[in-house]
Amino acid sequence: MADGQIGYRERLRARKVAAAAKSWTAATPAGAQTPETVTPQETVSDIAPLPPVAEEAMPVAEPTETETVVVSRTPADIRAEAELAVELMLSLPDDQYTARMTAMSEADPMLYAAVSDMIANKAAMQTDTETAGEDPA
Amino acid sequence: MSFDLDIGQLPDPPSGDGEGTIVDTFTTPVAYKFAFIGVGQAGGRLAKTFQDLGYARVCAVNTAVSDLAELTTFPASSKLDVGDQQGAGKDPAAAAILFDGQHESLIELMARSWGPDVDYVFVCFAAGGGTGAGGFTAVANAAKDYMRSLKKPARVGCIMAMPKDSEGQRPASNTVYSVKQLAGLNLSPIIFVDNERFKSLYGKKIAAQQEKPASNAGTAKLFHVFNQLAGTKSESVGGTTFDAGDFSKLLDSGVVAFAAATAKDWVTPGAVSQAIRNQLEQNVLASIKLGDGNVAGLLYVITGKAWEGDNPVTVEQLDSGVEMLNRMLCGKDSAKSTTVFSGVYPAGSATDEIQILGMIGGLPYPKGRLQELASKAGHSRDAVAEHLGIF
Repeated sequence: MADGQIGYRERLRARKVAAAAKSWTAATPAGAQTPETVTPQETVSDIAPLPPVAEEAMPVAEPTETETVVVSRTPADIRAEAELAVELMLSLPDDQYTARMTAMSEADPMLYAAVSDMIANKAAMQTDTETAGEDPA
Repeated sequence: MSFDLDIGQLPDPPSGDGEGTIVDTFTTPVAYKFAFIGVGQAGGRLAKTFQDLGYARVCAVNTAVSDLAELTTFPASSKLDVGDQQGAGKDPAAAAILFDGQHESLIELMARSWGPDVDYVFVCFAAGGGTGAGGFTAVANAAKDYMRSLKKPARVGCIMAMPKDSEGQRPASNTVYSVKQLAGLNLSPIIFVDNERFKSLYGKKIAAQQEKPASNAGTAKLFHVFNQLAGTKSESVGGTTFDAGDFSKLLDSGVVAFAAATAKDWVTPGAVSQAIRNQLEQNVLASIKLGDGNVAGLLYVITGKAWEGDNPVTVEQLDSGVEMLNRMLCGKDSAKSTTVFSGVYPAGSATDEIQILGMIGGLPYPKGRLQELASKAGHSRDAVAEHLGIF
């Protein structure tokens, strides 16, 4: 796994946390209890656990599972699976992310290739957005 | 503290559209800027087929200088020779070693040959060749990194020529090797140029010396027409148009195949849908069944009296064709989710007819053909199944 992917995930996570806090604040009626302060160091899972359905739907084997997946899938099926997996992967804490990616690379190399590719694409696009938004000063 | 610094005269900054901009030579608009890289001799010829159609972003890489030399229309800067031997001797493993350590050279080749304005990259190669089969993985990975260096998603597909049965055991074995590599690359679209299928469709009509060029051109021309028509405003017939967004959904749908049919009768009820049912599947340029796909583009190019005669084609006729293709995609599975993007294009021509162009996506690998090749190569079915999960 490239270091860039981790770096990108950290930045993405920080933005998601900030956005989650912002939307919570916006949706909170006047007089409601103020949420605890959210810091970028916290993960999305810490403040907003993933819905159990999404966890169940995660198309990735557990880390201990190494059996090769042989099912009839078209390349388009794999890409569709990967799109679902990418969002979930990026929302995981680093240790879980690494474990899941490692398990996926052993259990389902084709899905792993597609997921890695999509994460690298997101990182490339995100770098562009960040560069464009940077203040030269 | 002060010091003298003489840095001389700085060069003028390059202008955006200045000298060196690479522009396709066709005059009609297209939806996307395609770039092609040929790997190996057959791959170079495939890339040249697209250059002949007007695509300017082309380059080639090979392990044999002599094969690169035959690409006389490619600038020298668009050709890269890797290794210091004359070819890979049909041995993909040997070729793969020669491509090791060429990542940066490949990216530089792409930057020189394509420039920064690229939407999709296509790696062209023969699955049965040594250099093509052994080198396309390294080239595809370099292409992905090149696209990402441009801050673009790595939209990298491939055009893979598959050998005929008569080419023998080694090309068949190399094809199995290629498809195993392909399965782990997440490329899209994947376009198979199936030379055995082409022979069965057109073998009796094509001169021997024209066989491979005609086979390449058959797929390339249909692909180009889709790119052209997706970049052209289609007539709004029945509320549907085909646009670049629709085309990109086809391009991103994994394995795709092309087909064409012609309807000379557009008056008799059901004539257009009948042409689609009877001709389109027979004329698919790959060993696939339409029912295996789940997304398709269906373009009607309508000429002469079929568009503006006394009895022009009706909306009902065209819609029935779209419905027919939808039913063909569904096959026996009525619950299957399918999409057909259609477009209608009147065109000037002396002939009175409707050309029906199909691009079918979401397909599986052509397992029947791969089984044949695996068997010819002496591989067990499991050897391919292990990697693709298709048998």
